[in-house]
Amino acid sequence: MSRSGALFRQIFVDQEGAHERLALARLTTGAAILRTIWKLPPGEALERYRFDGAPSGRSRPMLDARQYEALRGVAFISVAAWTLGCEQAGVRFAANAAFAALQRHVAHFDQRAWNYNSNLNLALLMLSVTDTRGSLADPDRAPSPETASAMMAALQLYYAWVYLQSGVAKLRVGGLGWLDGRTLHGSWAELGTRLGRRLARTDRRLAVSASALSLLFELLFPVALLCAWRHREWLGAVSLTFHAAVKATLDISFWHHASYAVPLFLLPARTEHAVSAALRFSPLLTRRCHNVR
Amino acid sequence: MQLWHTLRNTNRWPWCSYNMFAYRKRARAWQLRVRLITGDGQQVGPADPWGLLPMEFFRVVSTLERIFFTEQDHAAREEFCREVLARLNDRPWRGWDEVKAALAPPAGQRFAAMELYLVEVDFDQCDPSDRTYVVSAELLHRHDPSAVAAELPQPQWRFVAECDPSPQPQYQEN
Repeated sequence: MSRSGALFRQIFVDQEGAHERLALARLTTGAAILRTIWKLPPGEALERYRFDGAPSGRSRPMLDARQYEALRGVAFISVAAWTLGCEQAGVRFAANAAFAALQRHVAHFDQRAWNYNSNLNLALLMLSVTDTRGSLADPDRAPSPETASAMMAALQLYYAWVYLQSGVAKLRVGGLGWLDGRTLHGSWAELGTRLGRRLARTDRRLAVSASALSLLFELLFPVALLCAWRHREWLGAVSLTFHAAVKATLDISFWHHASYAVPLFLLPARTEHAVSAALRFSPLLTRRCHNVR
Repeated sequence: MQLWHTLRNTNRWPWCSYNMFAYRKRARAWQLRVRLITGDGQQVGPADPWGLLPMEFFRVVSTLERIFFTEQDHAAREEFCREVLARLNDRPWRGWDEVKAALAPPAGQRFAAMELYLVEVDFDQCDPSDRTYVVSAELLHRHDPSAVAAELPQPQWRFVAECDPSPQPQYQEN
């Protein structure tokens, strides 16, 4: 088998500990979504200040504050149940549908403002199609080792793809001129933490270097992941370090993305057994609702 | 699809272009500042306006730009300010990453008035740790139903010496 073929098998077919990592990614996804729902803007503010301008001819969701809060409640309860191990089809459907509708509604609050966390919807969908509870999974619904490996690879590569998109976006809009450091320097001054604002008062060459490092990190992360697959835990650590630096200087952590570095790259797969042992006593599991399809 | 949106520099949920910081800042920029005043005349700010609404800071700025630039409805602006003050006084929120914590009045006080300013900053010359250090500042709107702000002096802006302000931005809907 060629070297590239062997690497392909290693990533997409024979990934060690894929079931366990999927279970850890499931918990990460559930926790991140619950945190996201908890901190969403209140319905009355969304209803009051939403942008009602022409949205390029597309239909707009029209939830009033009470409908939005009800949807928020359904999403929270169904995602919490799924996270704790409930595998009923209705729960999985409600979690996906309610969270998608909620996210879409918030994203349409003002189309000029970014949406940036639909990775959570994608992960929820992927991880709820089959039983991804690792050692607690119903064998009839658990993915085969090959499918689990492919699912894990998809999550890992999507993690890397986000960086590639972000790097390409900077070059697409700012060109190589983005490397003059002005954007980062100005962002330190505008959004910066105390440390960030201190950096904004230093020689701009520091911003030039940090900009170049950031861009290199974003563009090369996917390549590095494929080329240094056996050392991917180090890439996960580098990724977390990158986000910690951004948080320390700009007070933006991109946590809904960065937190996946832990289950996808960093935690040993065997961690799942300890987590599952704790979850085994979840009331949702002891009632065996996981066996209901 | 996502790459297509990245190349077009657009976002349309659920597709994300992940175009964070994908723009070029110049040496100067227009920003907003808010000054909040309590019933007995104590001031908070001039400060960044992100803690005026319980949502991500970029959505706050986008909302303020819409209400105070692209729309010219004075009554809507007054209503917005009244609601903001009520929320800050009665339903403050804690910060979480891109959602900044509510601007808080001094202990035992309530906000009674607010002023929104458009300022120009020069990233090379203004000290970013001092939000009053600006090239220029213009009052956009004063909400002062009990006339406490009108009796106060202007904020103590520190202006960059020998520096001409740029023409004001013209905000347009996308």
